[in-house]
Amino acid sequence: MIINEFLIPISPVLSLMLSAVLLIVLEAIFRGEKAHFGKVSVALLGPLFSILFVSLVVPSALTESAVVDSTQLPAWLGEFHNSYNLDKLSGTLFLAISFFLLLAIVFAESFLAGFHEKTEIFSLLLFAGSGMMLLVSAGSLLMVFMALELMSLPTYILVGLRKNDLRSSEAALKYFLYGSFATVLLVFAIALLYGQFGTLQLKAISNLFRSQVPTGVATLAAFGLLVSAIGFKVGMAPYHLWVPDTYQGAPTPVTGFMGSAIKLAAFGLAIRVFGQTLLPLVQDWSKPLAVLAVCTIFIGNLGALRQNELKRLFAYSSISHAGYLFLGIIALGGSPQSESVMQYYLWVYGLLFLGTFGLLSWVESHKKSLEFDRLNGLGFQRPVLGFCFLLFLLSAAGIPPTAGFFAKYFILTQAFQSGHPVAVAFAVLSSLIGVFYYLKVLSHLYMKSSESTESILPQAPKAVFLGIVLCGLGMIYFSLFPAIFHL
Amino acid sequence: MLSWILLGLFILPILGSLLVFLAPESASKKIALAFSTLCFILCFPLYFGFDGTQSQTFQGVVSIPWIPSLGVRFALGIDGLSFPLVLLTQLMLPITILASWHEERKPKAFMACFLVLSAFMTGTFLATDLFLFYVFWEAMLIPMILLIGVWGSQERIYAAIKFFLFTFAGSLLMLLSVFTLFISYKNQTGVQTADVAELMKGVLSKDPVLWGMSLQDLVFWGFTLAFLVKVPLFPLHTWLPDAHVQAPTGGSILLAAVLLKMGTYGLLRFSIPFGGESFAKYSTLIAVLSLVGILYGAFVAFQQQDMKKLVAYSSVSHLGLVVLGICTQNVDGLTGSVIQNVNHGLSTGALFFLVGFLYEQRHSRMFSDYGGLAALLPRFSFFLVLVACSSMAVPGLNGFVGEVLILLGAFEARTLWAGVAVLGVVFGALYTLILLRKTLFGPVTCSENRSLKDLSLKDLLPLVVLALFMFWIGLAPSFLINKMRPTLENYWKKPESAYAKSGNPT
Repeated sequence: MIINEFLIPISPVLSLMLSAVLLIVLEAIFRGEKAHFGKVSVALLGPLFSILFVSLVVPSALTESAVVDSTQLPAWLGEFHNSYNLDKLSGTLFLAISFFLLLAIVFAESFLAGFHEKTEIFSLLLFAGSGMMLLVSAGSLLMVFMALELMSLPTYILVGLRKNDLRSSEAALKYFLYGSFATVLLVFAIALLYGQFGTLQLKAISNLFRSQVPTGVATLAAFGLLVSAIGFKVGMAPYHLWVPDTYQGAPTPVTGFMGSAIKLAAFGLAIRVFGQTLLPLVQDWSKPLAVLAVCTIFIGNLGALRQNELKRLFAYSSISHAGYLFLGIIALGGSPQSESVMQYYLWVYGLLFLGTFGLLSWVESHKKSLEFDRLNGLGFQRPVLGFCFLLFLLSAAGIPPTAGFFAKYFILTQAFQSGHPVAVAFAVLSSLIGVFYYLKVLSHLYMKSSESTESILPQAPKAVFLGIVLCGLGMIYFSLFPAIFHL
Repeated sequence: MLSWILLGLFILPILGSLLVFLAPESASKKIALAFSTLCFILCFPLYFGFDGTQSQTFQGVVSIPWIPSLGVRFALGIDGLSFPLVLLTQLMLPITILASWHEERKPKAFMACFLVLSAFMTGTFLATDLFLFYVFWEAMLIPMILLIGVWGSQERIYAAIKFFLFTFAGSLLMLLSVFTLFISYKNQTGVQTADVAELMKGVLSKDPVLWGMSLQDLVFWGFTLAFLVKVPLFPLHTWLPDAHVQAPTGGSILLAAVLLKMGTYGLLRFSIPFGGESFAKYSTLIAVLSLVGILYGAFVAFQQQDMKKLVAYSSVSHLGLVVLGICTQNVDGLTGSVIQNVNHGLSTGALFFLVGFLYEQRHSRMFSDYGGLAALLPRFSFFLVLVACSSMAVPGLNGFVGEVLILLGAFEARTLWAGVAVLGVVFGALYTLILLRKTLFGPVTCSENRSLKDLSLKDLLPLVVLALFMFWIGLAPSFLINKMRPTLENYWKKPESAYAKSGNPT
């Protein structure tokens, strides 16, 4: 009974949590070189089992029509029995989160080679991952709050993991202060919504909205606060100021994880809250929101122009991508396909971001810093990795025939169809700015030769190599079959 | 049968590039040559299988659903407009690879770039789905920027990025037009499609929306600017001299012979049919710009000290003539343009091949380093003179046919246009003769030139093939024109295109 109604639906989340807890226990008992391998395997098993469970429990996650609608958890959970959705959206995003976790663990493992006592990074990643899963499947605002905290708290620690590094500490502090402020806004919004509707269930709120659109000040304020809170989490302008510093200061694999998985989870939440619950408000306010999205795209692209450090460059590029994704949220109002389009974008962007940062963390561990010229000649010295990086760069720039182009194209089509042609025009034109800085990186990768021979990057460890190549293959797969999710 | 050939022309180079990647480095050039020759051989059944009497439909259609909900299909097909350019692409690829035979830097990646580029170029000409066309059109930039940026000369990175940004800026405008077409078609019919022939049945609003321009004007300019950058029309041409001069020989050949043709092809395939009345409205402006380009290109070419720059500016001038032919809006001008498109590919391709041959040995493109080569390199000189004659439109060679038809068309349209264009042709003869005089004739000024080797058999083969085509088109142009005559004759009367009709959509 408990197994069928409770444990099986939450098994993807549970497997992450269990392996995280197990890791803490292992950490306390076993130390040293020999136990390290065991710990890594336990860490990898969590997401692997999670992928397995998702494919068993949500078989329709990737097929087109069948939607497992809101599995009801048993009634004895009280307020919580409605707070967990297992539908197509959460299925797809669960898969993505588990997959990104796997890659992040692999990249982190090689990055930390030498400091084996720091295996807490794995359990922190796993806890954050389980928080993300709960966040994207949340059915009530209470769950949203708890899941957001479960995701954020381990991430604050992850960012500051290199305690002796000033930048890392600065990044952690900045992220913590901004993040907690965002949480405060979220709690305030939840309180206002509860006061207005008398319930925390997203479904109930959505139904109330459908019957009559309340335009009270409280609802509007709650809406604004929610936009701000989620805007903080995804790094939208004007809430983007923490992004460059945090992305640069955090350990490189952690940045990869943040840019892919946390962004995905936050946008998953945005789809739940804006797309499925407060849709009428999004429609009413779509014009100002579109302005916000376009500003974000421009700020990200313009900011990236002047960077000469790769992590900072990709931080700004991630801001502009948040703008494109937010256009997708706005399009949810006018076109029902947007949800699957966003899933495609989130998958593609996550893969390219993680792949890039896997590669960067390998480069960084050898060349100590990530100025552009550290990449000189890399494209031909390590042809496979170089080609993968080329794919990531072109995808990030949105140049056909890479998956990044299809992702952007789909989002922009949706935005165009839902009545924002001007925003689309600006978004399209600003990608010209974007292309310029990606090409700058590309020119270092392929067109400049490294000045000295001893600086040749050694062959990457097998696991890291495999991880990056997997991301590259994923990009190729997504570009050959762009219709995979929605169409 | 025809569909399999078209599919083969697209897939073979991609397979070839994979094979190049897997095979050892020493074999990469041979593999590339084998695959490109195979594609060229496929052109023979294509030539005989293509029915030149049909004008309305695409032949050899391949259509595979790709993104169902957007109505996007992987759809290839060939008609009279794309036919000559597909043949030209397949002809130039093996020549390019032979021209790059001595490149020692990363031959694997070099050859893979050429093959991928060829697949995308062929795809661009063959796509009958607007979305697919856009994907190929843009994808082509990636191998090209690598060719310029990795294997080019000193200023290669600047030239590569400039080339990319110019064309990409144009493409983004085209993307906006594509969006507009798709969505206005969907709003009118409720069906999503990206099929070019189907999209032409839609109607675009003629009410002014922005700066006095209607939606149709905007769509027209979105497409047209993208294509004019590629042509390149004055004043959008500034990327071309940089790209040409910095690109390796093979890159220059493909750039001149095929990539530039995409601009004029796009004008004919998309801008004018979708633009309808807008083209009629703005054709004078475009014609004037092309006239300025003809004269400007010729004058600037006249001043050059660098051979590649001279050829690059001559391209600006020649392609101005091609655009002028299109702007005449009559059958003669159009036929001339289409023929001249091919001619320019042949003659400029051959010119870059010959300049590259010299550069390979002397590492200089400056006129001051040459002179008197006629006595030293007889075979080289013979072909340079022949190619120059073709470029100058000497009767009996291909250039003559195209230029005469364009001038005839211009004369029918506006006498003044023809008058100015003729001036451009005269100047064209002038700078080409200067090119000949400064390299081939006079005394031998640099003693290093005495040790130059003449064309070997490997270099002769492509030149002989090109020369054959030059004579063939020059003496019997009908073999090519007959294949596309109905397409060209019906081009200006498109009754099925609702874009050409007046009236507002409901």
